[in-house]
Amino acid sequence: MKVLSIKDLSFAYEDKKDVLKHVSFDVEKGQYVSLIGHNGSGKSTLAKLIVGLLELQSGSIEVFGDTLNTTNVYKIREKVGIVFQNPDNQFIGSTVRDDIAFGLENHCVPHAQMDDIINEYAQKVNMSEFLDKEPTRLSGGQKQRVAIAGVLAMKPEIIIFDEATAMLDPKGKKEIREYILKLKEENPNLTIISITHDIEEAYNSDEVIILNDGELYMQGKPSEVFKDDEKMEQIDLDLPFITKLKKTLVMRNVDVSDAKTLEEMVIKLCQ
Amino acid sequence: MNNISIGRYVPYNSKIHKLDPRLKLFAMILFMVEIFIRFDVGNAYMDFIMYGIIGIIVLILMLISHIKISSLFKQLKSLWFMVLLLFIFNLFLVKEGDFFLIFNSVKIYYKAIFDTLYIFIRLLLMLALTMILTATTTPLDLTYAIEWYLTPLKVIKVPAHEIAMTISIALRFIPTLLDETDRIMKAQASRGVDFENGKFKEKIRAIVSLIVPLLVSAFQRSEDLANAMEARGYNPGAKRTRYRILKWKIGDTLALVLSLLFFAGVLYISIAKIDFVAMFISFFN
Repeated sequence: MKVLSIKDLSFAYEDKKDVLKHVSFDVEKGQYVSLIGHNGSGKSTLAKLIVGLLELQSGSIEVFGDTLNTTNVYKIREKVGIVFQNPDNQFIGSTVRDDIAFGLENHCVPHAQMDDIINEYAQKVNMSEFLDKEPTRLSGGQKQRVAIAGVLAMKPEIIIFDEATAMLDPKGKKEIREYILKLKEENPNLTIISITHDIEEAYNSDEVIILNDGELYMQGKPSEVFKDDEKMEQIDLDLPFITKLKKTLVMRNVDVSDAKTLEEMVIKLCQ
Repeated sequence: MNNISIGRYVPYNSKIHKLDPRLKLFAMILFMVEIFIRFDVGNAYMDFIMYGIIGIIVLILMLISHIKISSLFKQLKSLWFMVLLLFIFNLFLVKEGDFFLIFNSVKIYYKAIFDTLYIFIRLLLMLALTMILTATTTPLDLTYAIEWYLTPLKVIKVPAHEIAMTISIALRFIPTLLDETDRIMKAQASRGVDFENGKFKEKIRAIVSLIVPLLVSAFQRSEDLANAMEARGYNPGAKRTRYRILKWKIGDTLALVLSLLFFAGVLYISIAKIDFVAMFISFFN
């Protein structure tokens, strides 16, 4: 089932060249999609268009079969959650508790249910003991976890991570990445779109979409997309470690081409 | 930058922390009015006695709410300059009543000294009161209180909710922007900007090098924040539910009665021109 369908989408900020040029793609339900590309390739613009933060200029976006327009944008935002890059700038409440509550208030959740929902989702992101802390007393990774809890509490069907780990330290990055994987395991019906610079993360997702200079450059399974190393090198994108390793080994006449994960590779090499 | 404690909530579980923010806001306004009431009985003692009484109450409130007195004096540092400036102005402008001494043919009047002292005491008390309010009330609670007071004005199209939301976000971002200021100052200092020394012109230039990046980043933040709020379904015009609900308790009623009684008392003493000093003297005669 298609949950998101983007058709011939183009977008330009005021008097500048096009950021997105005729982009079309579909996302299936329950997929973990990585959206990669260089800075300025239009990834974040695409994310903002999907949740209706920017007004459509040409092309269309369908979410669960509904074509996004100015009247149903609030309805669509109930289904699509987004976690942004900057942990500080998306912390709206004055404490963790209030921040998770913010989205619930907007969706008119009755007061009596709020505490239970807040506790449940704080537990899910391991922030239960920080519920009454202010944002300044939290680390970047903790703030991002709160942001995730805030989005999850609204029970979206699609979550977009717009470079959610870009501003975190390695430990925070690892935490969030692991959490996204756990999230996917726990909710097979949840569709995750992760905008990222992290090639390794992209390699571990179900599908990769590469944007280059506002155009859809490649789309497909990571193992297939990254196999085409020439096409990747053409736009100066780095290859995942495993693909690079495979390439080097093949050059030295070691046949490991059917190994898909690092573990398989290790087993193969040890034989 | 961390010594700025005004406007910062200090988590603690005191009696004052537990009071309803609507009451605290109202009581603070009453106190503020009391500070500006003058006791015109022909001498300056009465003003100082009343300031002393209000001061003692403020001190007790500070102790109950667990605010360190030293943090108040830290705040004073920035006030000294203002008070000094005021004193110099008063020296030359106030020419009434008896004078205190003549210094190089400039007469220094008692009134100049007292007027400066009044303003200093008022500032000090106001500072202490705002500190009590903000240290014991979370910004959000305070915003809800303001919203509650503004709600009747919705009839004349005052956007109570929007105002409250704006204030709460501004408050939420104070520490973030202070950290940012600190960071920019360090970054600029590492590029050779001297914020401490130099002539007036150089100082202005140093401050500009701080303000411009700070403003740019504040605008960036506000855009991000607006996006985050909208993405999470915020629609200013639409109905929303409340997570924080203010609950009025018996203690609040008690505190309200006490602060109203005190206010009435102060008002009565002022209007009836009661002179404690004269009463005291006549009592012993």
